[in-house]
Amino acid sequence: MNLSYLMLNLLFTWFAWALLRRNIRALAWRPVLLSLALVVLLTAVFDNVIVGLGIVEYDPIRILGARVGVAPIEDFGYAIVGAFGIPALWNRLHKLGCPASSE
Amino acid sequence: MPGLYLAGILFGLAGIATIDFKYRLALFTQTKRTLTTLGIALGFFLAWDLNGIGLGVFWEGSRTYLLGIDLLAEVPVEEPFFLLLLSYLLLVCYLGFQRQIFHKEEPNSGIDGGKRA
Repeated sequence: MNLSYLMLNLLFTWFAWALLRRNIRALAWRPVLLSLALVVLLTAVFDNVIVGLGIVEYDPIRILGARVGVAPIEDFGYAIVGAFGIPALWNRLHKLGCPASSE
Repeated sequence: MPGLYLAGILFGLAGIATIDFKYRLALFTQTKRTLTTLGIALGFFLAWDLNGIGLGVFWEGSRTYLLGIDLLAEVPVEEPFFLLLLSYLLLVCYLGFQRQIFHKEEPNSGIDGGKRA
C-alpha cells in the first residue's frame, strides 16, 4: 500500500478547489449530486472494462490497493472532482453564454 | 482489434452529443462556453494524467485495442478523447439534471422547461 496516487488526487482536488471555490460553494447540490452518482456508477462499469482489457496498468506499490472490481479506487477521483469542478467552471464562464439563453 | 477503444469512446461521445442536441443543453446552444469549459477541463485532466505517469502510478498497458500511436510517452492518442468524454458527460449530466429532463414525472420538463445557471 502506498499513498502516491491518493496524494496526486488530493493535489489536483486542491487545485480545483483553489481555482473554483466560490463557484463550487454556490452550486445547486441536487443536480450536482445526481450527476455525481450517475457518473460514479458509469465509471465503475467502464473503468472495469478499461482496466480489465489491460489498456491501463498500475504500479501496485503506488496505489492503496482498494479496488472496485479491478479498478483502483483512486480512479474515481477524476469523476468526483469533475462532478463539482465542471459545473463550477461552467457557471464561472457564464459570460460566454449567449445572452438569450444564459441566466 | 486496434482502434476498438477509440471507437468505443467516439460512440460514447456521439451518444452524449445526441442527448445534448435533443435538449439543447450545451454545445448547440452555448457553443463558445461549452468549448471553453471542455478545453479547460481537458487541460486539467491531462495535467493530472501526466503527473500520474511521471510519478509512475500508471502507464499505457496492452495495445491490443489501441491504435498504437502515442502523443507523449505512455499517453496514447486515445487519452484526450477519453478525458473529453468524461468532461462532456459530466457537463451534460449536470445540465440535464439541472433542467430535470431525466425525470419522467416532470411534465413541464423539456427544451425550455427549466432555468439555467
